[in-house]
Amino acid sequence: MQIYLPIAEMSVNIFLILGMGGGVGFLSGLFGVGGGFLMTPLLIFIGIPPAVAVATEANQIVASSVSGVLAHWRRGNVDIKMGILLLIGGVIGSTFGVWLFTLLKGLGQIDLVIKLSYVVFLGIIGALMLVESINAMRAKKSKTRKRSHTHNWMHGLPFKMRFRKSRLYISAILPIAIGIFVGILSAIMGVGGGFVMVPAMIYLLGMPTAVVVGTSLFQIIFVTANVTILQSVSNQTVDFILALLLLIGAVIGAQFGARFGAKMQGEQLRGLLALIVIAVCLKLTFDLVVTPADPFSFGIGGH
Amino acid sequence: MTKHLKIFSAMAIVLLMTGAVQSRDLVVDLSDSIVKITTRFAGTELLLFGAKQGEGDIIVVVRGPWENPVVRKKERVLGVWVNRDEVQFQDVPSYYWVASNKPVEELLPPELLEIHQIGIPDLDFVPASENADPTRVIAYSEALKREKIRKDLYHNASSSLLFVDDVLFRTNVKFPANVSVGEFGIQTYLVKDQEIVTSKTTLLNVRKFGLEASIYNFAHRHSFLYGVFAVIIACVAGWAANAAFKRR
Repeated sequence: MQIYLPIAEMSVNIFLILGMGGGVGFLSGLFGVGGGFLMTPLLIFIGIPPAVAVATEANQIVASSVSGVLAHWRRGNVDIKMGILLLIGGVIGSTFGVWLFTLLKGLGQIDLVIKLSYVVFLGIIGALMLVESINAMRAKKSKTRKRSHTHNWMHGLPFKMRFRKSRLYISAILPIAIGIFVGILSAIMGVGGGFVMVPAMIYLLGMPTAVVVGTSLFQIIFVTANVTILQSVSNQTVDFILALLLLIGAVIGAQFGARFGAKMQGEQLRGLLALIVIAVCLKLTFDLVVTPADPFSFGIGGH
Repeated sequence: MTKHLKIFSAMAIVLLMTGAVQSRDLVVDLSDSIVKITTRFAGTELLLFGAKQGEGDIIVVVRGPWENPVVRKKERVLGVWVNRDEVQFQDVPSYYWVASNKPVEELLPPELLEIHQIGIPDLDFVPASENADPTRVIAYSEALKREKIRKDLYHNASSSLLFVDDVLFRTNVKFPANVSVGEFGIQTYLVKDQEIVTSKTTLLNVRKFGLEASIYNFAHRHSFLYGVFAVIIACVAGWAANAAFKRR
């Protein structure tokens, strides 16, 4: 059954979109990740204009983060103070990111920048995760436990604040800087940025793992909401019919994913996720490097 | 199809009875003057029909809405294909359909095809900047035509126009799902002995209707509110999803 998307201005198969939402939702439930970094490239693969894919995915992430944060909220796993600092950075970063996006779109380079960002970040994250999960599988036998949080130059920064929930006393500059960086990625790549923020919170800030996911989801809601509104205003590329269809599939898929994930071991899960991330990265790299059938590309310009 | 045929024969009878053909050289009409893009839109087909007086062949050209496309050429930079050079064109038809009862090259000499912009090979695209290199412009124009043909937006339907008898003719015009909204012009030429005897212009509108139109207009006219609305819907949907699965 075909449905015409009013903003993407194309006709798509409704079951394909629901299926994609379901598939990515399953993986996000399984691995506890947002799934934006898989969904945006998939939308681009099926022919949704990259600008629409990025903006619409931001809108969908608002919904999945709201759904996710409520569960963490009930268990008290959200560090509001930390979340607000990340959020301040996130709003600054994503506002700058949407401005940059609009500029690059005008120059005809946005598609390239989106794809290159994916290649770089998926490559780095995928490789790190793979190494980490292999190490974890080995370390399990020797039972050595490494402390993730050590004292370094970051603890010399000014504006120190106490974060009771995270049991930390660190400079406010750190979470704001992380927020800015993730905000830029969110605007350009159409992701929540959890896959960058979660490792940064654990390894750079030294936050306890229990509050990391809830706090990052809390921040992602507001940053992706900001991206959705700004993209609507400057590019008119948010297709909420598409977002809604993806969401329906994703919600159902995530429930199955979460149940299936409960039966698997953490290291195996992370290793598997690493392989998926690397596969998406390789596919995007291949598309950028291989000689195109037609070296011309097309856009609708202004006057 | 049968619906189209019924309309066609009814209209043909009306045309004949009113003596329209006797008073004019060429009469043309469409089965519908508006193409409605709704949620279920997956492309459509219109019936174009008419009557001519005297001998001659018919060429129909449908073109519209005008756009200013940018064509960019990719080059390899550090192993990656990057958009480098670009040409901006102005007033290019986003859709172009040509139909005739014989290939247009047989009906008219090249000069006339060029002047009237009949047939895809004879379409000229004008670059926005006046001092653009002509050979480059041609290469980029050809690339744009290839893209349009690939997207089913440019189509050469020579020999698809049928004569029912010496007077009545008809053809189907296809609009793909990715057609742009706006106003389309339909030129119908009556051709005889390598010359255009007469021509008629008909207008056609492609518009979004219902929900599609509301969403599109909302997104473009009140883009801030649209963004806020999209966020609110997402929040409600996320909350509902959480509530629905909470108790298990």
